Amino acid sequence: MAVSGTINVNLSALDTYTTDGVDSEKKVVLSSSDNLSSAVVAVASGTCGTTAVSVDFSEFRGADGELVSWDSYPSSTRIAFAASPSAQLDWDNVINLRLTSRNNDVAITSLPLGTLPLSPGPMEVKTIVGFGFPAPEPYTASYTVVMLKEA
Amino acid sequence: MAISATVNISGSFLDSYESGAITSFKKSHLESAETLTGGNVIVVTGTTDDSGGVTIDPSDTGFRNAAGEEVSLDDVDRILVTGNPGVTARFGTGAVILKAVGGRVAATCCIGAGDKNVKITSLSGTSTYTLLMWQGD
Repeated sequence: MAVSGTINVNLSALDTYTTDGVDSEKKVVLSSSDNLSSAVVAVASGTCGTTAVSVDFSEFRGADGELVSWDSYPSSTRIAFAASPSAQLDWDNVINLRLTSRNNDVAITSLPLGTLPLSPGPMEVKTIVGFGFPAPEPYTASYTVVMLKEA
Repeated sequence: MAISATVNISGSFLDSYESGAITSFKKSHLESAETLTGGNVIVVTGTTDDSGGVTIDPSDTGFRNAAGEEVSLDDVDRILVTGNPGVTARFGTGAVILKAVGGRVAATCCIGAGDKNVKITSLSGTSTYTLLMWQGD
């Protein structure tokens, strides 16, 4: 089993201003592109509500049909999270991490060197209510989590 | 002043397995493409450390827009950060919302965060960072 992958993140913003005889533009671009030649990836999807549910990677199988093993953690890991209408991913027991997504806009972060114990606690997902942009009643959201550990 | 922006994030992973005459592939792909129209964007770059870090107040960064006016955000909807060798970003003293290493970009949405000030801390020693914050209309 061999996993190769790419991760691309790109933001491009153009601010324009026009006044008498003058056009002013200010452009901001922030981007990164990674090519991963050797990695392990697992995907978990589900539905959550206002009570946190654990993210379960245990049923994800690789191309060989075998369950993907997470028995040891590498030097670097990345997590991508998407949810609709909105939800947050918490990994409090390990690194106090919180990712937020709405409308399936992807949130993505790195977990760099040496921050993961061998047996990290479960990730949990729940909808966000009581703030400015809560998930609508009945306060449920669908979510997908992709976890990547690099060799 | 008018902002038009796009945020594209994609991850594509191909898992291949060969055994005898069989080759099996499993592809996982995650992608989002947003178009952000209107609102305001600010960018802050600098150097931070692993002790006190630096706190960015989006209402007072000194960043100027295309009209030459200072931009002030009173709310934040989207945050992207990159750092080298590596940085963490958090709201106030709350949970880490992003980690970025090796110049990779990390991104998240913001819902009901309350404290809009973002603290950028180096993972070790000092790191350079770029923080981008966007507030919709």
